[in-house]
Amino acid sequence: MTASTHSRIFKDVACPFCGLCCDDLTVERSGARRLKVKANGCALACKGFEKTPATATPLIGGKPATFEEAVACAGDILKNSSQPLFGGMATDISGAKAVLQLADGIGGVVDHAASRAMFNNLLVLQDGGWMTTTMAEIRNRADLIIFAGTDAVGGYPRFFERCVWPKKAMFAPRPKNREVVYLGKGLDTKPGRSPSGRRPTVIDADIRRMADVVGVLRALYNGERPVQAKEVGGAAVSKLAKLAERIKQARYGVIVWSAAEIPGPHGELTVQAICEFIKDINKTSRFSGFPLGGSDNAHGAAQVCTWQSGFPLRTSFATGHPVHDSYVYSSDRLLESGEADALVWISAFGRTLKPPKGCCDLPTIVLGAPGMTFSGKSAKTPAKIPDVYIPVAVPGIDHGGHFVRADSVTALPLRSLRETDLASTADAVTAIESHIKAGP
Amino acid sequence: MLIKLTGGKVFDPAHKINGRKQDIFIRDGRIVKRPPGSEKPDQVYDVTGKVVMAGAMDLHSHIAGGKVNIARMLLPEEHRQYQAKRSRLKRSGSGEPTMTSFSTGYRYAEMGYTAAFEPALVPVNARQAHLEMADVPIIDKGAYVMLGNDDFFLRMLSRKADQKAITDYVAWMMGATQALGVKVVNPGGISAFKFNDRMLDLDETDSHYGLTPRKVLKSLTRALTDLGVPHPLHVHGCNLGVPGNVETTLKTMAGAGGLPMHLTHIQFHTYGTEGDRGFSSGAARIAEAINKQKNITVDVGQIMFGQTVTASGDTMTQHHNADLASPHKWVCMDIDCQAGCGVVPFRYRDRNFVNALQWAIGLEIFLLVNDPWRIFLTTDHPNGAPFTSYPHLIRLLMDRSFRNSMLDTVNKHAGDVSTLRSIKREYSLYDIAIMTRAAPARILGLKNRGHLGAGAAADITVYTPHANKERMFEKPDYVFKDGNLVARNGKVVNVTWGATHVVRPEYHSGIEKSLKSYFSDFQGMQMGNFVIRESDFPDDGRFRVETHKCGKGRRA
Repeated sequence: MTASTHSRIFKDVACPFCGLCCDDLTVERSGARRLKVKANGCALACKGFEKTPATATPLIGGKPATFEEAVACAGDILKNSSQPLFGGMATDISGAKAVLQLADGIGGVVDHAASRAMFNNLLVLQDGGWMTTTMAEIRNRADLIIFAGTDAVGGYPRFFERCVWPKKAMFAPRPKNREVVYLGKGLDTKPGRSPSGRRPTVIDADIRRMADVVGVLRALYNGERPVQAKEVGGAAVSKLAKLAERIKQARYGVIVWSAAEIPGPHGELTVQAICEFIKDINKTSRFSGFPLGGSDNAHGAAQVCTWQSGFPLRTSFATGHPVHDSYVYSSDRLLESGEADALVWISAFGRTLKPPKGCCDLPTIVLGAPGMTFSGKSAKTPAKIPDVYIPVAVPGIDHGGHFVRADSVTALPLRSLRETDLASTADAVTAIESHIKAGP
Repeated sequence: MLIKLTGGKVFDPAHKINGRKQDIFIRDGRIVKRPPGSEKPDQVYDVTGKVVMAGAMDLHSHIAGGKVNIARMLLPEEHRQYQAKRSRLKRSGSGEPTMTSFSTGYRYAEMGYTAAFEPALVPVNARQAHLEMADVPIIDKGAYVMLGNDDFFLRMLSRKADQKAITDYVAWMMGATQALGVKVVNPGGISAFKFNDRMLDLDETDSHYGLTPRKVLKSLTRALTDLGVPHPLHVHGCNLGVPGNVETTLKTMAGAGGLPMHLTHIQFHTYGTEGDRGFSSGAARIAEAINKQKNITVDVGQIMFGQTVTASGDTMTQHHNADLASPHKWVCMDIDCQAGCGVVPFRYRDRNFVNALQWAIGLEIFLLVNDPWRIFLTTDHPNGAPFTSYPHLIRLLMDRSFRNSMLDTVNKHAGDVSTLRSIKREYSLYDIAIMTRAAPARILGLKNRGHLGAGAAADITVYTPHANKERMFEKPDYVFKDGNLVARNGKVVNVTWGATHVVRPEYHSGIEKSLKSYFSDFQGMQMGNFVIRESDFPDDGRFRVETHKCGKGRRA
């Protein structure tokens, strides 16, 4: 699929602008570079495909420079750094591979912008394991779907269309007879209304106390000891008891959570409460979990980092071999403590994912989608002007590549829809690596 | 460039060469006939007195794909324990049972292996697995796509679809996922577990489709035979690990009806129920059946004592065994109406009766099956043990006194009930060359690999003979991959990139019509995005497909 200057229609385009990676979009290109989503685009997709500029100029200290100059400047910064942090990591699989090769070679730390959320899940996986499912299983099999502390649609606009209310499903019951339950408060529960108009069950609960709520639900389900409380985390125990009974009847139930939407520290305790409950249910019937996530190809970055280093990000190569610690090597901590002495921020999918505030005082290199702005002044653009900005092509618009979607199982091919004169993340990183190797 | 290996003792069973002193010539990555005397080699390696074999091939090793990565994520402690530093040549890495991608390629090459095949490619995960295998350097790779629990197939079979259509589907799926073979895991059982069936024996029907594993096996075996796919159906049977499963395994073999069938990690399927502990060896019966039925091939899935992790598509069995997890954590996943995976860490203990007997059963099978062309050396990496234990395993097979001395150290009761001590057989170097080179190449249909004849790819391993066969096999003197010297004295000296071996059986494209609507209606992704094309991958030589021919098949 090579891009050219003629207008054309692209069908079955995969969209890299949220973790669902829907692959049924129709995108029209008019002229060489203007894109319009003609079918199956949600708001995130339209914004991503239509509003991303096609080109931008590299900047050194905010001033225009050539790609070669910017690469040389970035390479020099990294040569003088003893603990560089590769953050953001929002790019395609080839981009992630290139970043890891550079980090491995010069002894850097790698992390992803979504790691705080992702590690709410990964800590549970590392500690006790879990039982999870994937999008097509939910779509075809689920008869009870419980949303714990998320409405899904906030970050994943087409989740209901794709997984909850598809027109057809292979196994009973018919999708429209599915039961949807929300646990939480302030959620958008409208999408939970079935196509035939049946309302979802909504159990008010304080999302910050979801671990307690699920714990009581688990106690009610197991029934080993009577539950004395009438209310937990704002949820009526009587309603939870009903839900526990419904869970017993389910043929294939699913609890959906979104690790990014768990407020406060130690979100992993909430995730663990859910996962241990699911293990209990499976002693006698089938039930599974679905952790929503994966935007900005977070799962892609975690998968590549895991197969190359053995660890899912938050990993340092400073000692010559991979060392992983989800606390020590978190981007936020390394920036706040001043332990990182250079930041490479990778954000190839969009111009809004900017370096965190903490990077103000250290040399910063941004490999970002075209159109990123850095004023350093307003609250909306808190980042300082980076020492180097190398605009990179957007995977799935400007070049082909791969994206791992929310279930961490399916990688989808991204396509090149238009011509670009920008380097891909992989090319830019490889150029920086070459400069470092060549230099004195 | 012409390279000469001079003076070596050559073991090349494909050409019936058993330790003959013979020079080997390499030109442009291939083995060539002795050139005219006037041509002087550019490089000469004096391998006088050394043993020369083709590069070894592991036909069943879980080196990549989602479940392997889950196993890595599940076990950060293992990756802290085993660390591999980067060097001028090599990338860093970690882990042993779930070794990382670069390390996997280096370590195989350092042991004289030049190919390893991932046996459990979940269709929707195939793209990711190939992206991962593109990071496994030096060695050749390939994969068997997992079918037989996918709802598209089960729907066809339960609706009594024409076998021809099923055969087309199998061929299409192999092409779409860039596969070399087809594997079935717990036929129908992974799907049945999603409907809350907890066991499914060969002739039991699952609760949703009303199909038996036997029907699934029959249809897939037929499909591969009709298509002329060189590698027979790769079968992970019913009831893995269940005492008494030897009966099921014998019935499964008989059920092949004379058609080719490969039973994988058969050690885990060779358990009887005799003795006061209700657990016994079925090795004698299994070996007798294999010896009689020439259509059957097996790999062993030998266990070794120590910490490892079991990573399998068999969610039904893995969930059943989850309480045995050590350390006590595990993952089970239902995957996209196609498959599943279960990852359960496990520590095999030599003082434990069951584990010790499992160890003995594997060795009994190795030693009681007469024909080394039909039995393959595997530990089902990492399920029985990491592949790094192969040199030790080879010593166990080649050295009876060593074997018996090891037997003395395991659980005494297991040692007493096993027939292992009485088995006199010792494998020869020729036998080892068959089971780790010539036979795997033949059964996978790789005509240019696994031998040292003119035209073969120059994948060559040179060993120094040693009374201690573990020492001999763990650090070969020279390893050549496609004519390049990649390892010397057990250390990587050059990093190259191997091929991905595939076959592309032909099919009638009519099947794509029903697949297209299945994908958009049920799979929730588009068929065109499921199909893996070489052009989807970067042009960096790390995903280089080598297509092998199918036989005539019965359909032609």
